Formats: sequence, structure tokens, C-alpha cells
Amino acid sequence: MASLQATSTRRTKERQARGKRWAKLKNQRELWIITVVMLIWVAIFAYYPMFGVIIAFKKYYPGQSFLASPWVGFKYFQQFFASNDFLKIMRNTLAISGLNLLFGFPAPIILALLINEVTRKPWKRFVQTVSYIPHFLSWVVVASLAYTFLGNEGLLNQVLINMHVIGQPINYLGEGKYFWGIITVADIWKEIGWGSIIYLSAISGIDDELYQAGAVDGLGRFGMVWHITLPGIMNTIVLLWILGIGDILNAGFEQQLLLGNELTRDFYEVIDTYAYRYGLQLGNYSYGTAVDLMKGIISVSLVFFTNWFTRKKLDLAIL
Amino acid sequence: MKMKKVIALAVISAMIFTAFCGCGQGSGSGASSVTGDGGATAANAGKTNEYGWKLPSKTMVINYYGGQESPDDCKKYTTAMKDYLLKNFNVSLNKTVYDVDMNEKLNLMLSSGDYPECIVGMDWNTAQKWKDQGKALDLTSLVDKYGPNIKAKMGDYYKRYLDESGKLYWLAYLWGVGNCVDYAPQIRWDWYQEIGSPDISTPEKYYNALKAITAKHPTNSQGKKTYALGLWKVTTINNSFTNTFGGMWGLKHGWKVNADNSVTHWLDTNEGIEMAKYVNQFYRDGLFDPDSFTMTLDEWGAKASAERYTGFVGSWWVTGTYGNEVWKKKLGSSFNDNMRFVHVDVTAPGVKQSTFGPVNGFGSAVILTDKCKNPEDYIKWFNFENTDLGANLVGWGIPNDTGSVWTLNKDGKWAVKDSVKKTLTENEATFNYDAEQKEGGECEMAMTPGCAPRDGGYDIWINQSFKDKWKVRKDTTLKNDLFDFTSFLSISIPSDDPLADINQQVGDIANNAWAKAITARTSDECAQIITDARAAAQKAGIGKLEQFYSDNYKKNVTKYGK
Repeated sequence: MASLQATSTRRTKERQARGKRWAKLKNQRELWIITVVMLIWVAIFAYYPMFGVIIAFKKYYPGQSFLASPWVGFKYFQQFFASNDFLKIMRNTLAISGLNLLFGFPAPIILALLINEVTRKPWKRFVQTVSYIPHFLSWVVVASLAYTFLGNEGLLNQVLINMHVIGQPINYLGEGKYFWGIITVADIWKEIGWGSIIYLSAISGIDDELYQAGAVDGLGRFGMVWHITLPGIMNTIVLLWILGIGDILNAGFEQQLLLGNELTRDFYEVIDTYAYRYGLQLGNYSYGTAVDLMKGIISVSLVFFTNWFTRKKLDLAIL
Repeated sequence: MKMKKVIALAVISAMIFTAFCGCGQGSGSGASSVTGDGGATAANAGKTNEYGWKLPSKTMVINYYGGQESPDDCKKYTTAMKDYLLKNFNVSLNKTVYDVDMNEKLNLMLSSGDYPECIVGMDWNTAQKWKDQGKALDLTSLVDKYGPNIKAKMGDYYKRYLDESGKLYWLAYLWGVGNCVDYAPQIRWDWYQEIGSPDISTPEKYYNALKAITAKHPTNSQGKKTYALGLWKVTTINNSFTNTFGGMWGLKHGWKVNADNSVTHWLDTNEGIEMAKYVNQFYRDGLFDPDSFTMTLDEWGAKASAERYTGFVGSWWVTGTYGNEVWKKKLGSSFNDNMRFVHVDVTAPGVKQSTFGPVNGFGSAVILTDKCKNPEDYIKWFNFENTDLGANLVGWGIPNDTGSVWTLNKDGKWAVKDSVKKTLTENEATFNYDAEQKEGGECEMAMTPGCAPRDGGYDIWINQSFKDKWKVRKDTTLKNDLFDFTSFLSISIPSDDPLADINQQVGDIANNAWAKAITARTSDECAQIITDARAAAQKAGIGKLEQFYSDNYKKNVTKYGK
């Protein structure tokens, strides 16, 4: 009898819970209708193809079936780690993405803070718009601009020679020691404006009363930025930092192929260009997939680790 | 609430619409594929036209993938030919192109299972892969039955395409040995004559002549510095510049062929070091464009058109396109016909014969895939292409039209237009290649013709059939440089062979070393760079690569007789 009563109570509670969930769903139906389309898209184009990573563990060649190809285990991962170029590729990848994180990550934050300090609205809009434009240029155009600016007869060499700073032109694009700097600067120039949008949007969400209170407390402009603006957008910074750390092995692809050349190969070859040339171009899809899968696993691990770290230290996390 | 529903519906509709817009049938990378309807009327069916082609009762549909080309250009240059073939042959010939690397596209086609009935212009490695996967049809009995002209035209060449079991899985596009050398050292002819046309038969003399010309013309008309030589960025492991420079030292396509028919990569030879030191000398003396490894072909072309180079080592069409053709248009009547780059023969001391003209008589592969529904139709068309009139049509374009280069009457008698002969022999720079190509010329829709000269000296290329004095000079100067290197160039490395990776690695090391060696500060540093690269290549497995090529070269020499 008691058990019957308990079962009945449990069932009533379940029915009530289902009812609440259904009511919630009904209430949010427009949002769900919008989301379902995207969820289906993500399932088809992002999750379903992930089945293809199986070829990283198989000897697959185009034309064969994924399932019928023979298993080779970790052969291609070992092949990559054992390759003569492995250390050089990892060095280049970490160096380029490290520089991007070190300089490229704070750059849009600084730009957003500076734009926020501009008081004249038309000028502010103009600066914002101009800063976005490089984002829309393709890397082919950027490479061409780089050649015009940095080539032996480029603008920079001409200016330096005319100012008697140097006697002979410097082959910036042909010397490996400049490559990392050039690609970092090009990347920052291209993305700084676009990257600042999210920070500007976060800054606009800070309560004006905080600034008023700060003024009353005697804070100057720099003080307002340091004590109010930055803490106000800290969540956004940490969120993007966590995602940025996950991209540490994504040092780029197009920009390396376009800005790099035979003289700078030792400095431009990164994981993605290596996977392209030795995987895709040679039709060795298994090898290319193994290299990229390794990259993906490390990236995801870094995201989780950074998320855990920021949760522990800053009480901020995205997961 | 109502507004919220409206907005939600609008957003959903937009997303669904854009999602479906993104779905398509292979049009994302810019394909151009035009299919035709039935052409010739029923009344013409069964009749034989002036080409000797018997019109089929039902339209013969031929669809093929023709490699990397701009789809817009393809459409521009194939429309007239398509219409002509439909009307006069009852053949719907449909060429599909994509503006992406052909090998990458073929790999994607193979993995997706979405590929056409016929593929033209594959490299032999890729063709072998398709055959191994069972995607290439056995053509042996089809050619025996429907392709007598193919066998007759190919002659002994035909046997080269049979596999070990005597079966034929492919035919070839532009097979055979042509009659011209494309790549060689060049010199600015009018300036060369200014300095008294000295002997330039050796690398040192060539260098001295270029140095003298550059000293006499240190800047162009805009005050920009001139250089003896300049190159552009190479993005493939096959480096045409090292191959051509190597020809001065008797290297064949970048390889040294030893007395026992073993082969050695240039990086592993003394000739390779000599070659690098030679070009390095240009660099150290300020005669080599320092942007050579960072600029693209277009950027090089802009400098060439601005008269900033006194020499070049490479192909004739590049210096023609960016050199004399530009200057002729710019200068008009004050253009001097000697204002051009002319090929010269340069041979290093101790070398019997320079080797600028290795030819792969194999051409490139043409296969019919397992999706081909009517392979006999394709073979019939290929059979027609291998007649004189067929070769004229697919090589030179349609006859009797405004932009045509030849005429054909109803009796099958044909002739090249006198005006075309005159233009090509006297003033090639004014020849309207665009008009010819719009008529389907320049082999725009050719699939299996050969490129060896025919009776009467006619060639698949109209500008090789009638040569101006400069082409005649080039071919006469370099006639001993032309040689059939099919035994080597036809060797392919299977893509699942670890040698494919070694080949890529060695190519990377060689190209990297070449660039660094040329831009070295001293001759000793240059030689050291090559030596270090040699050690790196040996570690990468160049020995295995050389062994593979040696074994296969010896086998092919026995098989092909040369």
C-alpha cells in the first residue's frame, strides 16, 4: 500500500514536471523554432562529417570506402611526430600563434578602449568603420600590399634609404627572421578592427552610473579605464582568451602560403600548410586527417584546461 | 506577441532559404558545364559530312572534365565549337572545368564518388590511382573495334600505353614529341646587338654579355634599376628554373643521366653546385633581381614589360607575352622588331650538348571512368580526332568563320588562310589568338590528339605550323637540345607509396636550397648551402628516390628503345 502510494506520488510529480517543461517549451516556441533549424544545420555539417576522422586511423585513399579501408592504428600520428620537419613545424606554429596571442589578443582590446574614449560621434564612427575594412580584404590582396610595402623596392625600403637609415634595401620578405613579425603585424592589422567590435559592445553594456561614481571619487580617464571599463569587460576578455588558447595550434594557412616563399620556408611552414601539402595535395587524406586531428585534440584539451584554470582562479568560465 | 511571431517567422524563412541556396550540384568552385540538346535534324542522320564523319541518328553526348581553367574563359572559348559540333556532327561535346588545382579536385571527386564520364589531362600518377581503384575502363577492345585511326596514328607509341597484361586503360592528350624547345636561356636581342653580338655559347660568356648589356642599360626609361636575370615564386616541387639552368650543364629535367642509365638528382651532383654558384654570381654582382623569390609571375611580368631585365632563363611565351607583345602595342610604329627576348644555346665547358628540351612523349592521361555509359561513342570521337581533319578542327578551331584560321570546302579540301600564314610568319605579335580560341582553337576542346608534326609540317598548334623568323631561329638554334625523355618523364610514383612523401620532402629541400644558395653572400657559402641540403636530402631518403627512378628509367629505356 505504501509502495503504491509512493509510486503514485512519483508519477504525479513526473507528470507535473513534464507539464512544466511543456509549458516552458510552449512559452519559448519561437526561440526553439529558430534554434532547431540551426541545430539541424550544425548536426549535418559539423557533427555528421566528424565520422570521417576515422580515416586518421585507417589507410584510406580517395575512392575507397571509409569502413573498408584497413586499420593502421596510430601509424600516421607516429609518422608525423617522427618526420624530419616535426620540430620545425611545431616551433613555427607555436611561435606564430604565440605572437598572435601576445600582441594580437590585447590589440583589439586597446583599440576598443581608445575608440571608447573618443567623444565626437561622427569621428568615432569613421574610425570604427575604417578599422573594420582590412577584415574584408582577402589575404591575396594583403600579400600584394605586403610586397608593395616591404619588397626590395617597396615603400618602407625607399623611405629608410631616403632617410639614410640604411644604405641597401632589406629583403624583408626574403629573410626568415622577419617572417614571424610580418605575419603577426599583418594579422593584427587585418583583424584588429573587427576584433574590437565585441569589446566595444561589452563596453557599451557598462552602467554609466559607475563612471559617474568614479568621477565623484576623483578618477581620471586612465583610472576610469583601469578600474571601471576593464573590470566591466573582464568576462568578455576571459571568454575570448579561453577560446583563443584553443586556437594556439591554428597559426594560419592562407597567409603563410601567400606571404611565404622558398627563402622563408623554414619559418612559415606550420601544421596546416604541412597537412595541406603532404596530405591534401598528395592525396594522402589519412595523413592530413591525422595531423589535423592531433591538432584538434590538443586544442580542445587546452580549452578545457584554461576553462578549469580560470574557474579556479578568477571564478570565470564558459563551460 | 504578434510582432515576435512575425520576426521569428522571418528569421526562420531567411535561414531555410539561405541553407537551401548553399546546396547545389558542384557549382561552388565555379564549374562550367554546358549540356546540349539534340542538334542535327533527323534528315541529316546517317549522312557523312565533309570531315568524313557519319552523323549518328541520336545525338552523341560527350562529357568530360578538362582540368583547371576559368569557367568564364571556358564558356567564352567553347560556345562556338559546341554549337558547330551539334549542328554539323550531331555531337554534344561538353567540357567541365574548375578553377582549382586539378589533382586536388580529382582526389575530392574520387572520395565523394562524384566524377564525370571522361577525364582529360590527368598526370600519370593520378591516372594510375584511378586505374588501381577500378575507376578507369578497359579500352582495349573498344579501341580495337572503334579506334583504327588512333592505333594507326600512334604507331609504336600505342604499345607504350599498354599495361603489363597488354591492356589499355588510358589514351593520351598531346602525346608524341613536338618540334620546338620551350625553355632555354634568353637575351634581349636589340641590346645584344648593340654590344656587338659577342659569343654567348658558354655560361661565362652569357654572363659577360648580360653584364655588359646591363652596364649599358643600368636603368629603364623611368629610372628603375635593370637586372640581367629575374625569376618569380615557384610553388611546385617541379622547378622549371632549376631544370632550365641545369640544361646548361647537361642535366635533363633536373637529373643527371649516368653512363649506366642510373639517374642522380641535381642536388646530389657537382653540376648542381656549379649551377647554383653560377646564378649566385649574378646575385652577388647585383645583376639578379632580389625580389625573385618573393614576387608572383604578374609582378615579374610588370617589371619585364617595363624593360627591367636584359635576359631570362625560361619559356618563350612568357617573355613574348610580357615583352615584345606589350612593347609592340605600346610603341606602335616606332617598335623595333629586334626588341624581344631570343632563345640562345648555352653549354657549359666539358658538356657535350646542352639539354633544354626534354620532352615527355607520353602526353597526359585521358581515361573513361566506370560512370561512362557509352564508351564506344567516346572512342569514335577520339578516332575522329586522330585524323588530319579532326586534328585541324580540335587544334585550330572551326573553319570558315570570321576568326577561323583555316577553310574547309564541301569536298573535304582544306587550307590555312593566306592572311593567317602571312601574319604568323611575318608578324606573330599581331595574330589574334583570342579570336582563334573563340573558334575553339588552341586545343580548347581537344581530347586525344598528338602533338608531333604531321605531313606538310602541320602542327596541332597553328603557330607551330607557321613560324615567324624568330621561332625558326629558336628552333634552329636549339634543335639539338630537343630530345625524347619519355623514358624518364613517364615514371610515376604511386600515391600510396612512401616515396611520394620522400619526393615531396626532397623537392622542398632542393627548392629551399636553390633559393638560399643563389642569395648567398659568397660563393663558398653558396656551395656550403647546397652541400648541407644534400645531407638533409640524404637523410630524407633521396637515395631511395634515385634508386626508384634509376630502376624505372632503365626498364623504360629497354621498353621504349631510348
